[in-house]
Amino acid sequence: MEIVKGEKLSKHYNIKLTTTKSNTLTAVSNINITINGNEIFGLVGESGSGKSTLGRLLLWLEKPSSGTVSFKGLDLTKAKKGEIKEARRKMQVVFQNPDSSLDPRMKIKKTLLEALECSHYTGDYTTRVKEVLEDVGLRPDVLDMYPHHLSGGMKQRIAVARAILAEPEFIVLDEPTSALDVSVQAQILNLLEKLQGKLNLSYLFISHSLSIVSYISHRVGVMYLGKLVELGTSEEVFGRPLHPYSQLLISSVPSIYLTKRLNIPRHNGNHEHVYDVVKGCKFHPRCPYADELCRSEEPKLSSNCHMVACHYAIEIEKKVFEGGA
Amino acid sequence: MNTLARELVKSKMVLASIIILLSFIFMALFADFLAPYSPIESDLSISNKPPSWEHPFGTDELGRDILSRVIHGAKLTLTISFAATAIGALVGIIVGILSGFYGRAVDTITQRFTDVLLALPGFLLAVMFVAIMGNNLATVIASVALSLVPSYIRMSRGLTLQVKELEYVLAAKQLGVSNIKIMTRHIIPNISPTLIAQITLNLGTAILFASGLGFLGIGVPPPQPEWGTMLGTGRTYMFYAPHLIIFPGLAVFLVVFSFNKIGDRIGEVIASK
Amino acid sequence: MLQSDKLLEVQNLRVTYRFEDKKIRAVDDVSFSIREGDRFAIVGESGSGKSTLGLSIVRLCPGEASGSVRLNGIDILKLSQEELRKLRGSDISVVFQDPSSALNPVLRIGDQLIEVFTTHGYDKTEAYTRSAKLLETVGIPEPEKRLMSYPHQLSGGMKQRVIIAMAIALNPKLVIADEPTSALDVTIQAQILKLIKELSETKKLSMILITHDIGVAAEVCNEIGIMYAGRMLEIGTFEDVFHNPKHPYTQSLMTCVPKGLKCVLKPLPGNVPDMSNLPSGCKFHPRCPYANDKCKTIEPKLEKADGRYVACHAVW
Repeated sequence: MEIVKGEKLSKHYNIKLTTTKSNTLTAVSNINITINGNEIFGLVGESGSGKSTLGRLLLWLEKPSSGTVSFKGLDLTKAKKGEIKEARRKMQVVFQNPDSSLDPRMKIKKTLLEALECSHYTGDYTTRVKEVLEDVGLRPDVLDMYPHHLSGGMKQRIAVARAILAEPEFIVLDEPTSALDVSVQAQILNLLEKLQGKLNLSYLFISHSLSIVSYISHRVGVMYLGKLVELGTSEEVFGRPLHPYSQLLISSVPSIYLTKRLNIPRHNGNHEHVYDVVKGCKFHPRCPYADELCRSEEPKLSSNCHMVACHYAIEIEKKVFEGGA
Repeated sequence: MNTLARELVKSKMVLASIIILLSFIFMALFADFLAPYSPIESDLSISNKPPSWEHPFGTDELGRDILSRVIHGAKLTLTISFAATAIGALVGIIVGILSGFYGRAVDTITQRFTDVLLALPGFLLAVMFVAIMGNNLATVIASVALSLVPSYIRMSRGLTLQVKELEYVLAAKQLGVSNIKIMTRHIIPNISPTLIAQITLNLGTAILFASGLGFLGIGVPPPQPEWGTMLGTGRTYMFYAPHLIIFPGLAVFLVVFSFNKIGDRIGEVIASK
Repeated sequence: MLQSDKLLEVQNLRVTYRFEDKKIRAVDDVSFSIREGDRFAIVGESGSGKSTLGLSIVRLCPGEASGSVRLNGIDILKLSQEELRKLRGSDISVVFQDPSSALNPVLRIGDQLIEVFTTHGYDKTEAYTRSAKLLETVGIPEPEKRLMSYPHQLSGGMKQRVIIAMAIALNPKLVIADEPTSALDVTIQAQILKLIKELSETKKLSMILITHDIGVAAEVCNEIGIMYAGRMLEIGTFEDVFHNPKHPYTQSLMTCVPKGLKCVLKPLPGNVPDMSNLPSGCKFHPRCPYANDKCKTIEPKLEKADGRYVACHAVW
């Protein structure tokens, strides 16, 4: 069953240069995405790929320039104010930076109670807060502390607790472990996995770290310059990446296992950060296979289970995985 | 707040400033008991007398006791300063937060309005206001408040813009917390330390503006013992009766200096956190 | 190991910071050595003291250092400021994490690069040709055009290439790189790591790479030192430390990082210790699954075991 669905989503920002001149920056361009119940959907991409913006569009934290977002069949572009508020409560978020995701002037207790007040919970607030604290692996003595008394990992646990207290069905996790040390990162990942199973949640897990996304996700989307370039199950995307960008990304991850590497040609082309100046396929300036067709025409996402937006996906697949010439 | 107080008292200069201010506030509160003479009744037979045992600060051109006038002046000056800053800050901060939080049309309108106000120097704005509305205590307070408003709008708007994009505000929005609650619970507590430093500094500025108006003869009208007015009238006699301006001048200096010293320190403490 | 083949020898290095009335020992009794051509990685989490250790080697760290750091037998900690200035740049150079703040934004790339040569006695035309050649070495296309660019006109990866160029300009013996790729995207990181490794091989450069990412360390380095709470817990070759770790902390680091699909994550309990309030005995014992009474009271020393050095009472 689908929980959240984005159709033809685009987001443009106007960057004012002077009072009369302005530039359009496209953060997300024409993306279709569906997240099912009980599913962890991983979204990977480098900085500037628009992955966080896509997350915010689905949360209705930002309104799309065009396209629609629907939550359990309710089209948010057409819904009433009250319906939107209710839908948004069921879609919660955990951000990357533990230092700014909690109000520094509020005790933990107040932060958590604020979330609980917004839910439809009718029982005893104190027991509920303690229950959720236990779920996220914290003791009740943190309630009387301020955020600066807590370590980064603990703050992230509180942020997860706040999200859960609102009784959500869908949570956007925007780089939830990127600011943490590796030993703490694994704790949070295990916690998130446990909660997902226990509370039947769906996640959109946004991260630049491929190893984490491949570990936690059921399905994965790869973004490049505002476009979804590949989408499939975790096994498909990481085991047999079809888009040249996914291949580059996966073979770029530093690893202690130096031998297992995709055999792909390298292209030292630089990152073109500005979407609107690249014509055709957004990846062509960095792509070793690019030709005239790629420079002029933008490829569409194919309609198989394992979707890829590349003119030469089939040829490249043969070349990379079957050692063909 | 406790740590802030402790940090303030650490510096001897700031501690001295606090003591000076407290003694002026004490003077203002108990002026009727502390002042040896009436600040208004004149006795031309003793006009422009230098300091003596009967009149420690001397007497002015109408034979009034300057010490009594400085003590009563504290009441008037501090009232203007506190009232004007409170009104100016309150209006400015509310408009600034709303403007920063809601953005769009609200923001455009208030920002163009502040542009106009900021185009004129604050003091000139106060002079114009008094010139149009006439000079009495209420208009002086209002004019000084008006001159302070634009800087508060700019400041609180800027701070709001920063805070409203922070993740904890976004998380509250996603929970469905109402805008009013987001502003009162999350935004105001987080921008208030910076604003408090600004308010303390402005208490001094307000005194300078009010005294400036008095000095030009368009402040609180005589015979009220306002420090600026005292300086303005005393100017005529300053070469042969310098005590007419020394003592009210000293009072202005001490109070403004103290407010600035404390305000600076609060700003430093907040910045270091 | 023979005395002569050691390029850098660090012995009993301690670095202490003072905060008002508190003392924090960020690096405590660290000893290791580097041979010519070695690429040594200092791996640790935040607060482990890895950056303090790396920067103390060139005395770029505000803390007080004791012990000895010998480069070809000369103790860097005892040098005068003037000798130190000569040493930096010509014998040892440093690459910092953030490429955008390491370059002066108002000067052209060329001006900054040429300055490196002119301050060390080259004339201007010689400095210019050398700068252009250097940019080519670090893989920057159209080097002459780039010399005229300002830093903001270059991408993060390009800036880091320029910074690497400045670091190797005077053919130093040792380069210390403090998280050189942490601010970069993963595809750009791969390019920079490849460049660093190639440069080190072709120029016989020794280097110290400070990183929190064991993958990055593995890509570039042949010797690894694992740091925790200001101590070295394990030092050895890449194969020994990463594929057959002996210290419980190193072992758990390996199981903390997801390695692809369907692996099992075994997170460490607890947090990185607070440096102003360290536990007694072995600093890792509160999080160690094997800790016993001895670990709680006596701090283990780094000792040779199974081809590498380990600081653990029970070597596994």
